[in-house]
Amino acid sequence: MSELLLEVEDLGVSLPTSSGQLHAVDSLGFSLREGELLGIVGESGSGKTQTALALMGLTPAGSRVSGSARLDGEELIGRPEAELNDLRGDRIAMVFQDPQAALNPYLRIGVQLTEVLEQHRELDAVTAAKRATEMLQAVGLDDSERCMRSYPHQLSGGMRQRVTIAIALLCRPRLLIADEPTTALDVTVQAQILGLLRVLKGSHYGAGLLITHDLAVVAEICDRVLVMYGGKPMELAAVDRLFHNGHHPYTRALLRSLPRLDRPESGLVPIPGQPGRPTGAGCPFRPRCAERLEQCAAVVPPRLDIAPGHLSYCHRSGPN
Amino acid sequence: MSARLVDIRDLVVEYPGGSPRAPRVRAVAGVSLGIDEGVTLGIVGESGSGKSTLARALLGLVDIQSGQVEYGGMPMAAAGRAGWRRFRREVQVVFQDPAASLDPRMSVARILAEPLLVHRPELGAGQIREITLARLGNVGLDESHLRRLPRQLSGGECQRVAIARALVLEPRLLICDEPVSALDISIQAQILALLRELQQRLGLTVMFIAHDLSVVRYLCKRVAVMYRGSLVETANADTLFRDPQHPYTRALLGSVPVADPRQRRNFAATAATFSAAAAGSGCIYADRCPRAQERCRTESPSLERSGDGDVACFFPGAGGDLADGERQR
Repeated sequence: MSELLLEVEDLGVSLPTSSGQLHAVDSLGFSLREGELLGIVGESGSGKTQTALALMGLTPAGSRVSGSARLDGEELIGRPEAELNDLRGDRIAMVFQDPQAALNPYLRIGVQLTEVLEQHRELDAVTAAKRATEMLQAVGLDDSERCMRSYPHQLSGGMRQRVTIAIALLCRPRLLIADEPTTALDVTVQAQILGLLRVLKGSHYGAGLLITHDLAVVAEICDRVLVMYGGKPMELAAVDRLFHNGHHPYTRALLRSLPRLDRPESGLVPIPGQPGRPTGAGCPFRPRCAERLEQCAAVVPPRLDIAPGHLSYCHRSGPN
Repeated sequence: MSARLVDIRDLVVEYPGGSPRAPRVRAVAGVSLGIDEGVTLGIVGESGSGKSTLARALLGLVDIQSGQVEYGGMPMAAAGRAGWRRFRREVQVVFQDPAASLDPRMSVARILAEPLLVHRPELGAGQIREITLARLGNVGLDESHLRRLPRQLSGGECQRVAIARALVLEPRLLICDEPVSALDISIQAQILALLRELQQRLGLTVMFIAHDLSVVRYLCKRVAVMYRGSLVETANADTLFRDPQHPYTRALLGSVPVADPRQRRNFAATAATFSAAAAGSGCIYADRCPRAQERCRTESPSLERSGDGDVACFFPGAGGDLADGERQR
């Protein structure tokens, strides 16, 4: 077994809203080993993005983060801002959905890369530029010299996303968090970016969290998957198990609701209702669940150990 | 063979360039395409391929540089007020962003009644209410939604209202431009199942624009693939997905992730380059094509009959290449 890189326990994020505190993330736990890519999947409001922001110390002002998240044994939650600033971009880095918004339109790409190295590595300008150029090549921007001199608007969407990945990987982070990194891209470009994330793992980053709504993307490149709904974990398993022996009713319903290129003849079965979070202690998926039981509304579902490394949070304990 | 409802011939649409001196952008570069009555035609392509512009040109929402659009045997360029009125009644649209395509100050009842007030002034209030309720029922909503405003509806409900609005006039042609891309997976499935049911029950002709090939595979009988403003391949969906002829179609299909880890494609981490200046006389795909030969760089292939479709390529078919990320068997 490889080394434990990230350990998240009982993570909670609550956000202030006009109608009181919203528990965006509640009782979330998972771990990540060296060399692993974990997919976090969920629909709007599932808490997947807030989970990532909590790890980065970037949750909105007024929010409360509780629980624990340890990176190489060091606690991240509750760290002072100054220490987080040292960590971010160095040991934890993030790639966002919209590369256009992530890059500064007024600065040349070269400046946006070298400033990271000057900040975190205190490199001189010449060395930083050399490192930055190498990094651009590593993310497949072959004409790296021209790229360094360009402004973001002179690059295509796919090239811009490669640049944000290069920026994230400059300091060889332990943990790379990618939040919907290919959602804004065309499908052929998405394939290139997914290929890149896969190839660079290990050599350029320790382990990764891929946050997405797209189960197919997870199936393509992740080792394990965490399915979230209404701020809570539903199921956690290795990809093969989750896609072929999923336990949780939500996981199985999600898989049945996907149109499949490889199985055009199999119809899709939509999940009735819409994503949301009912009040009360029970399982947030219960209003839409076809297999709900009486206790689902009142009692928090127990954590079931289905198999080694396979967890499901459901009142239905038998094999489904 | 069913009747041709839409016939688009040599359509060219250009937009002004970024600055007064910049060359005009050719969004649709000479497309010829027919849609038969009762068929769901999927238009796929990446951003900038011209698929939405094609739909907008068909709807008369953008100016056409050259070429022509015929609807029900009527050339739209020559259609007068009465012709356009008929067209507007029979051709309806559903857009990507449901919230943006509904007037925020109108109740659902008003949104659904408006097309009837415009196109069927002979109807009384009772009849309008009857039609409205029937269409709401078609899309899985009911009377309780009538008084609500768009902001009181979820994204999926808004899209249902937009579809109901498109249906109140009993259209012959429904144009859907990315109708499910803004929705959550579970809601996307609801809308897809609804569209499939409506299309089967009402015998609608549908032009379905989408970038998601899995969605197109689910809904469409026929598929047209666009690249940089041109049509590169059309075929029946079964043929196109089983045996794509154009190298671009092959690359596109090879890039679609599949929700099954046992069918991993192991996408290659290929490099990206600055796009070259607009190709001169050659094939529009030549600079990215793994099969490109000398001829492809100098001559432009035209659409040629191939099986039940057409393909614009000098070297179509499976060939010996492995397109980007094509499935490793």
